[in-house]
Amino acid sequence: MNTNYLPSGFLPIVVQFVLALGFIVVTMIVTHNIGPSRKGKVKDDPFECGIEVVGDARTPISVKYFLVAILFVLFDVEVIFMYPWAVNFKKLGMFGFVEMVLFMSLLLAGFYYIIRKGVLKWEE
Amino acid sequence: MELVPFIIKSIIILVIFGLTLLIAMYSTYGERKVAGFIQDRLGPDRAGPWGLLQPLADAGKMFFKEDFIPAQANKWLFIAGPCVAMLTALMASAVIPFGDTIIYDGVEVAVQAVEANVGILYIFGIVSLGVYGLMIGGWASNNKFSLLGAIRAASQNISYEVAMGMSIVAIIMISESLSIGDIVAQQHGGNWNIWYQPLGFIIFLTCAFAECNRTPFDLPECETELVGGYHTEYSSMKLGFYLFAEYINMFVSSAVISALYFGGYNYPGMDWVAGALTDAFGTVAGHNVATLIGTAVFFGKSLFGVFFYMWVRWTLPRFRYDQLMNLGWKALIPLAMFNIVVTGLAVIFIEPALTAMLK
Amino acid sequence: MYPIILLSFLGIVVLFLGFAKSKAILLPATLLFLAVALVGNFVEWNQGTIIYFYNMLAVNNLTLAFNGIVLVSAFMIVAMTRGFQDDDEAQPAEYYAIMLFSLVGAFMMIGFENLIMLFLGLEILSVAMYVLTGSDKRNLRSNEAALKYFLMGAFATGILLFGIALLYGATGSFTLTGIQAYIGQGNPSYLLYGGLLLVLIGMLFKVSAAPFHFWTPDVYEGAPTIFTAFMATIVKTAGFAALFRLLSHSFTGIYDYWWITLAVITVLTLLVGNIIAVYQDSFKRMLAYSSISHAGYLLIALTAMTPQTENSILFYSMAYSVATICAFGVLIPLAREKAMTGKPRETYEAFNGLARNNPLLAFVLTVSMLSLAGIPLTAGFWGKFFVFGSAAERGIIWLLVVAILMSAVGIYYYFRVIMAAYMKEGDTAEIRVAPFYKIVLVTATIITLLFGIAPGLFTGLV
Repeated sequence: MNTNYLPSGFLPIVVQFVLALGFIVVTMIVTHNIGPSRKGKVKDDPFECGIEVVGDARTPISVKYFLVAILFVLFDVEVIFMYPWAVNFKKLGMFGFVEMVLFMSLLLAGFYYIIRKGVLKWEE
Repeated sequence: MELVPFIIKSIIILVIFGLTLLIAMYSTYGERKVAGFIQDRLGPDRAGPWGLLQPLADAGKMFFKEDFIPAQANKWLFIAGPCVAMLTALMASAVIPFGDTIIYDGVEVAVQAVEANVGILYIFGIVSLGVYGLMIGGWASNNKFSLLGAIRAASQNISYEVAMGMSIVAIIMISESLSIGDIVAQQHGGNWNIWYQPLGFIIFLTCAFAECNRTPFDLPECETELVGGYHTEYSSMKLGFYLFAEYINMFVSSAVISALYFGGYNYPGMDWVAGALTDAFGTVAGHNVATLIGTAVFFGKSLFGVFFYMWVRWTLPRFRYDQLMNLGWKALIPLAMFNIVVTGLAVIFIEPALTAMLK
Repeated sequence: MYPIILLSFLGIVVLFLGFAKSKAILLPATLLFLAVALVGNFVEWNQGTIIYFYNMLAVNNLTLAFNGIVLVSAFMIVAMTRGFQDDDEAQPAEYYAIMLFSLVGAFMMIGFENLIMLFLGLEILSVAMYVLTGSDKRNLRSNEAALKYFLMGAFATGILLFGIALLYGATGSFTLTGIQAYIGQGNPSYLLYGGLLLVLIGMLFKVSAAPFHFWTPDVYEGAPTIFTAFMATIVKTAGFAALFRLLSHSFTGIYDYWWITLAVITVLTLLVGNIIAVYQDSFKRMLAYSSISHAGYLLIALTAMTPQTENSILFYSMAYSVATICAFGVLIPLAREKAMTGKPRETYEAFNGLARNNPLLAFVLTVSMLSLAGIPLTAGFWGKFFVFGSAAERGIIWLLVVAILMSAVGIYYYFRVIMAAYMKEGDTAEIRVAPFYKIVLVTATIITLLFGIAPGLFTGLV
């Protein structure tokens, strides 16, 4: 098992990044310049199935999406807490397991709470 | 980093990069052929023999179409959207081990762009950046359909990411490492993780479908409700980038699945093959050829994954939005937690007992 | 340490009790849980200093006494929250749970041994307060107050965290003992001074000392009165306990450096708090400025930093908390009554003629105002006495002079309320107050008078 990691070992990521970025930029410039370009007032409008555009698209949206975003932040942080624990799981043994069961039961308590509060009710 | 391994790595990256693009291109062709087969029709067959040149024709068409930007759109964000989507799709493959090691000039180099000790976290991070591409593009279009599609995409992706992360935790508990290279190396021969993590695999697979916005989770672009979803306003190669990014993501996630659960480049009988090859070609050449066979096996597994994506797409109908959210939050997350607990119990109680018994 | 674990768990239980059909169970359950925590707190009484969690928390008699003050204050405030049940918009289970959780933060601040713990406790307490401030969702002022508090509080927390980072950079340690050892070596780095200054700014913001007090009046006025009381007592007590712990343990080595800074801030706080309080029309706003001025008095004790400081801060926090709870406790039913008749709710006018039909409320109000003003025979007098005594012992006479002048100013605005209640003509009808509520008010008044007559009963405890 390789345990010797150096910062320079991550250099190939830079190579891949430059490669990907170069590909994207070149493609974008080429496709922008070789295609035709015709302007028109009606043509430049956003597409709404042929009906005239009413108002701006940046309207308020259902608050549920924001709740989901907040829940995601909460739960994803909890998941990230589990990663270092999982890596050391076999070394921690029974003690680590009990601790994590405790942690997860608290997490489940919160989970049950949000379900009872109806945050995840999408049917209505 | 030494120069020789660096050059070899660069060549590997270049080859993988080219292969990824090629596979993504031919996935579009494959998708239509599979659809044709499943729906009992022919699929593309005009461009070249069996329609094999169809992807090239598509690419050419994409390039020569008008690069349209709506008047009310936020111009730079509108351009940035597909670029971000494509960039994240192309970056994710950096830590996937496509094969064992190649020996050149006495230096042993892994067939992997970066052997990172945080490999899984890297993939996780890059994949979650992908949602920015959809969100930026959908918002910048200033089109109601696009915005709705983008928001759906964002909330769907983040919802399934939680369960995905939890299903990986169980794998890490078994392998005690975040490095994908290590995880694959531990699955030597036929000792694949799928035998230990069937439930985790199903959760991960479901989440991978949702993360790629593939049917049955393709609500962000469901044409019956949202025209084209987040890419309604896109045309030319920008649209191409979005579609391309989806296919690349499919390939990369298949590669991750095969690395995490199906042993990556490992296959039963690989030691025997390696031994035979070493006898036949000598130590260095035999090892390299064995690695190449492993890489081929890996690509085979990944391509089967891509095929599986298509198979599902043309078999299952789309979920309704509340069903999607309920599945993600109320089914997959508790299941993933259950999986972690069961894995923990198994590692603590059953594994020592089994080891003792086998001795 | 027990109350931390108990309340973390019991807070979750309260949250789930909210799903029960009847909301009536919440209040008794919360009170019971607070009592349990209070008992759990004093299990460790007189066992010397105990260090928990790898040098993260320390427990000794002083921290237990502060915990006790916080718990008793919380008990009284929670006991006064009967109005939640009548309000459809209210979420009583969440309010109670957040209050319990915020107490956990307060305990962490009081007993921290590691600066990370200080930060964590402060955040738990502050975030809970941001939520409670904005809990009156339909009230624009409440929303404004919450947003103001949150934005400024987040900024202050950032400063605090930056200070902690600098301290770590200078000393290489997050623990108080580590910092103490570093300062003991002599010749500390400049990073240490910068870090200490930033940490002080962050903490002084939370206890609303001038010039970091700008959020206080608006937040106190906008928040629902019951949570204003919570903020004015518990946050302040915990904040000063944390400041005392920080300065007394690790930074005594560089006392000559920080005392003058703190003295200037003290004078500013006293001036701002007392003089602006004179010009207020709203009772609630006056109490906000009064809380600023009391922060000033408490800062005197910190500036002096004599061996008596811990006792004087403890006694002052107790006296101030109890008196403040009384003041808000009178305001709540009065404002509710006035709101029904459509009269000004929280101004001095509202108190006009209170004594005629409500002698009990007027008496409670009077005792609490006297205690806040520091008139003899109330606990507030002895609080001021101890604080001024420590300043005199250290020999900072100019500070003492300013403080005495300012408490004279304080007498003016506290007596205005008493005058309104007894001398002015008004038409306040008899206010119906729940018996339980009355018991709380009377108990608090008795505590104020008891420790005012015999302060030794309290100082002898610790």
